[in-house]
Amino acid sequence: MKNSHPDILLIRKYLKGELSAHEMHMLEKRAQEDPLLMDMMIGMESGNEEMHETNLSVIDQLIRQRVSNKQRGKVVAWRAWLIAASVVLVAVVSLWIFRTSKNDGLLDQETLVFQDTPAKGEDTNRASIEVSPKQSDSSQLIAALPSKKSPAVTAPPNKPKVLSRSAIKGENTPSKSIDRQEVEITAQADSPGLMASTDAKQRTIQHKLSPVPSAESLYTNVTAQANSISKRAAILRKPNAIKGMVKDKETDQPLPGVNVLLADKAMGVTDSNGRFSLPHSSDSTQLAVSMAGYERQQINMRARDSVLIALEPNNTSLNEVMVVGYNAKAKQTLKPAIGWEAYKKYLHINNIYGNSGKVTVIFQVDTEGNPINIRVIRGLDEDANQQAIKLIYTGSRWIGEGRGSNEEVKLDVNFH
Amino acid sequence: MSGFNNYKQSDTENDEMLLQRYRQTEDLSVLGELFQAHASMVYYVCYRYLQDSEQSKDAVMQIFEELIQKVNKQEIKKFGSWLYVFSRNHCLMQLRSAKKMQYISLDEFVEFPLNGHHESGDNKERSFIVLEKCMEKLPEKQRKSVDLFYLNEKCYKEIVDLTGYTLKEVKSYIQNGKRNLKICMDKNREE
Repeated sequence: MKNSHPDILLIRKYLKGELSAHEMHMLEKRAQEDPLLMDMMIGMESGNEEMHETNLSVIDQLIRQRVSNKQRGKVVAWRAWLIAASVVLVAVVSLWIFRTSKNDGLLDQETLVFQDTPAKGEDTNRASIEVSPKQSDSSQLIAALPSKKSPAVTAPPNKPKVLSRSAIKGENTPSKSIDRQEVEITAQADSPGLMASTDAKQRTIQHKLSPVPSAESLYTNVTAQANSISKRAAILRKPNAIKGMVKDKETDQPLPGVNVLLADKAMGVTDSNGRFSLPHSSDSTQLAVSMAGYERQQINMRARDSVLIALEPNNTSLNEVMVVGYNAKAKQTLKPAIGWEAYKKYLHINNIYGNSGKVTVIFQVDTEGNPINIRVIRGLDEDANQQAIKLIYTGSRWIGEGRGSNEEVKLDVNFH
Repeated sequence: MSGFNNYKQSDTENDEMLLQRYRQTEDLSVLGELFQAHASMVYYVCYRYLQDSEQSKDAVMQIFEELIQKVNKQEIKKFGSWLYVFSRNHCLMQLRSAKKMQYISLDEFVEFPLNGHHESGDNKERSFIVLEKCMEKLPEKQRKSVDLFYLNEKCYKEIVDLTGYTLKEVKSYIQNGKRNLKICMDKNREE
């Protein structure tokens, strides 16, 4: 892999000890002034070179793949998946209709038109045809369907792969619209409109089924199907909100005031019933749940959007970290987004240092609400200082008018 | 060293060119080429923060995806520096969200008080006096390390040999000494 960054070669020499003392000093001094260089040096000296080389060539390949795919791979997989889902849906519905019609014989012979698709392989073919508008359009597909006056075809006994195209009252138009719906779903696989179009499809199916006597129960079934599909899709696309409840493992009581933190800085606190709801926006799926006096828990939310968490009480006593005060200037507007209460608890939970004394830190808050420019103005020892800075840095976002201004927050962190 | 700068210069121009071309053509392979030129840098930076082989690889690819989204929305003057800041923020965000308790020094880039100050005459003279006063106030180990590194231009390894401190200690003393110096000097300037 080519390293167009010239410093990488230099650092490599540096690490191998091939540089003179003066050259080493030059590089070190530059790194002291240049964060990029410093980060690269630290990155390169941790881990071994062989591993880095392997990783870099993997990355090289990945990028090349990604670039040549032009995202097609991803989208096609998606579309194929969705089409498969809709095919299954339609198959299940038709199966249901078929059964119903056989059982009570009330089905209007002209309302439904079945079409056989013998093999799954063909399903997939059709799917890929639908994906690419260049190769075919919906009218071609519809042309393949029996015309409006054609009699109902009885589905064969071995039905698992039956694909049905039900045409309402034997007319072609609705089936056309169904087709469009499907195309629409595939087309929107990438956008939030996915849910919407699934809904639309659901409606169409409902409409389609209305002449059938047991439409009501059918609809329920269809809805359930559609729900499960949209749910599965949602797992891939991620749900909009993550909900859950936290309780004490021993007493089984709901726990209020528990910190829940979703790995993309969405954080919240449980309400009086131990419930929480967090917006879900990130790629990360780790939910961290913590509260003073309980074992911290990490939960993977990849496959679900709601969760019941039982926290185990933690009997080891925690070091006391007290926020004893902050700059009480009249114009102090900044406060932690999670509130002082929760913030104190957070400091409480996350501090595991045993040094005693006080560290005074002062910092500002950027426009995003992140603490920046954190400085220790009265320190204890190196570990405690770093710990205090780290606590502030990884802690809550801050709110208030002072964001992005030079307003400063001064915090005393007491280590007992 | 001068050959170096030339190389960097043409490199920057190349970045600029590719960026332009991508914006005109929207050809992903152009952006890929541009990113590839910086992929090692991004990877090492990620590794520095994440300290994990797999996570770093993933992060690089995520950064590339984000880049595709962002590249047309933002004005990018110097691609390399921009990408560095972008990558660093990405990793910090990841760490922050994972609440991984890991040492991240935020004060790493305090400038050494006499660097980059092109003050003239009296001011410079005064800075020197203040600096010396502040140096004296530093704890012994920090003072020694800073003195050897900045004033005697010794490299870390030499300082290790001279003082008997470990490499890690030397780095940390320089870091902290520099920070303390700055605080001290700022205070003196105000007075």
